[in-house]
Amino acid sequence: MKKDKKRPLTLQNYPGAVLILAFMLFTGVCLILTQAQAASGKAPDKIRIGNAISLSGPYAPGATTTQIAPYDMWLKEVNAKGGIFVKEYGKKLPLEMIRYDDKSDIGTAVKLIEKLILEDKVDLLLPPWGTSMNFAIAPIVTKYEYPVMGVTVDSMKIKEIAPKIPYFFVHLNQPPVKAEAIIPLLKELGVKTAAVVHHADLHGIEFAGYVMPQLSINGIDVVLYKTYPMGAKDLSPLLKQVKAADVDAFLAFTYPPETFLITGQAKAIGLNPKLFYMSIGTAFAAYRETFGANVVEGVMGTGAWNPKVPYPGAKDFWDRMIQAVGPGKVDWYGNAFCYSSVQVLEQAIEKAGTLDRKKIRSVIAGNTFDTVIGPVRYENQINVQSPGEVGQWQNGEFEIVAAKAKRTANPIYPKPQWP
Amino acid sequence: MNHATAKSKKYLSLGLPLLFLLLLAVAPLWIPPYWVVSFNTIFMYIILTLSWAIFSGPTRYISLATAAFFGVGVYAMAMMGQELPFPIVIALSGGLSFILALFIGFLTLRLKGVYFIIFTFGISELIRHLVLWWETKFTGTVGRWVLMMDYTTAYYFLLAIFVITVLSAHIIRSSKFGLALKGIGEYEEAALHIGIDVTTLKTITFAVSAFFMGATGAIMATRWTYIDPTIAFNPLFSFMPVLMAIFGGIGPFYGPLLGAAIFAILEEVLITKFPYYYMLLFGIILIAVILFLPNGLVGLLKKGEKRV
Repeated sequence: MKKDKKRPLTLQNYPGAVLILAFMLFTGVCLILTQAQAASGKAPDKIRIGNAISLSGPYAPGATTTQIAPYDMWLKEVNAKGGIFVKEYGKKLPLEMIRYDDKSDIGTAVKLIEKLILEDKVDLLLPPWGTSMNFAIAPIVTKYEYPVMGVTVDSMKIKEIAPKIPYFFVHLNQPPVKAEAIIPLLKELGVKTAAVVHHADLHGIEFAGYVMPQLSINGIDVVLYKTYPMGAKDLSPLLKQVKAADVDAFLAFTYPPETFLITGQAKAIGLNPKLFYMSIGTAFAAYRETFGANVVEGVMGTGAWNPKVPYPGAKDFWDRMIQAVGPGKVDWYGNAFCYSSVQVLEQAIEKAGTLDRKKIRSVIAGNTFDTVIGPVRYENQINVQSPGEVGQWQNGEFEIVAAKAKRTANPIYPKPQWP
Repeated sequence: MNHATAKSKKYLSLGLPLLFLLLLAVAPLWIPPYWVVSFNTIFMYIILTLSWAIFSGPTRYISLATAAFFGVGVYAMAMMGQELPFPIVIALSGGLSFILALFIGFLTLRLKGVYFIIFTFGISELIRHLVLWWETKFTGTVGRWVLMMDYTTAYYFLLAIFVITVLSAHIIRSSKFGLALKGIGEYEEAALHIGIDVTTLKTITFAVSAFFMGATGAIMATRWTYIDPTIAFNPLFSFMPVLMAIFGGIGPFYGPLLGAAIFAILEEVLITKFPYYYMLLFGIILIAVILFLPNGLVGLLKKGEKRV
């Protein structure tokens, strides 16, 4: 590990060399310890699933709420029924999860994915949380040929490189698809003017990039358009400008912390447009819990899922989900998408009848799967789910109000006053 | 007899590092692949800490701009990695960081103490926001994909940079140049009065250390495969080298090296087993070192040596 000491060559240098030797020994022992639990490689008696995800750091709340909870529930349920039947071995194989904390750090995430693949030799992988994390692992899982279904990926940039990353699938409906749901809703409700704000990160930039031109094409006047830096702690000056602009609709493309911030501050300064829309975090039950169902009444948000959807198992899934984590901790959007991604994985393993990842990949790529979010089919590895949804809090439930065909309730418009 | 021991020690102190180098060079052929991946991170921390110590060690100017130079390297790779061969991009990345450091150095190395610390920290934040603004404004998005380099290739690139860093650190230390730097650290006014061109000297050393940071950033970018300004200019890369160097001891140059290596390995071992204890342990060790070992591990070793 070291090299130095061609200089003075006096007694002083000698301890340096000893030190280096000791250090080498230390390295060796530590690494051997780490290695001790490496996998043995004969006929499998279980399916080992690796998941490096944020258990600490800024991504942890989102990761826990949206992904970890449904993954764990799925794992428990599959094991309760004995595992997944794999034809190649003629028996059901239970699942084992190996989970690591990536500390919300991309370098760690990438390293841990390679650890799971190279050292733990897991059979399959589940994705991390967040767009950039998923982007970072996509080329790696492709290199090692592990099919992965990214859930919390929210950027159409993935489309450009999809041919280069055939093993990475995108399960969430993407910004343009979600934007498609907003515009018809605004037109239907007769919105004439709008204010658009968003954070300067991938999600906000892309989302606004799709919505802005659509607004003007459809004759909705964008009176105010502003961006703000991520991690902003006070947005009230911006919200006061929105209030002064007196628009019909307020559209904010946000991450969870900003969603909470904007809600609190809008209420405080009395910004109450007829349509109040924010993106990520609005669908969290924690959002409703923080402010109270009466406060969030009428607030709209990106993406929605509701147990009233006409897909098999939806209602049952939601009951189990709420039972597993509690009514205040579910995510009315991401949980169903996340669960449906592992439904696809489970069905793909059964259909492929093997743990051969190449075969599993081609089954995923070439079939349609029935899940709690409806039939899932990938086109160029992107889940074809169009149009997307807009949700609205109504009596403590996050109802789907757009697209019209998917509606579980009629939109409330105008939004009631803050209590 | 005395003569003979001195001589054998001489060979030992020369031969041992060469032996290690040889071992490291052939290591990827026989160690498990994930170890190679781990070594990459360990190398990264060692190079960052060591290059930080090249400048901050003797001069005692605490720089928090490591993330800036590292990030510039990361971005240089992200932007040029698709078009140019890796070695050229790595050299260019180092070069860009070098130039940036020259520029920053000329501007700021007249500042002293806490002003300098804050300024260097500000610089890396400034660059981060500048890149963010640029990307949002002109490319309409924020992240970039980087061409992937496999871990063994990255290993050899990092090993090469590591060796060059160690050699430079050594050469600078044992030259008149290094002596002058030490003079600056001990009493800058006096150094000035005996005719040392203090500002130029500091600036050039600052830039040399930035070169290695940039080159390392370029290689790490290929390992991360996707980057954005927050990832590239993560302030952690400014703080970690300082902490690691304090832990190891800033005096002799194997101090930072040791500190970085131990912490990087500790992280490697703890992160998968006890993810929450890593930072906790890090904090405890650091407090203990500051309280009881003001000169770091190296100070402890020196003490032991004197007793012998």
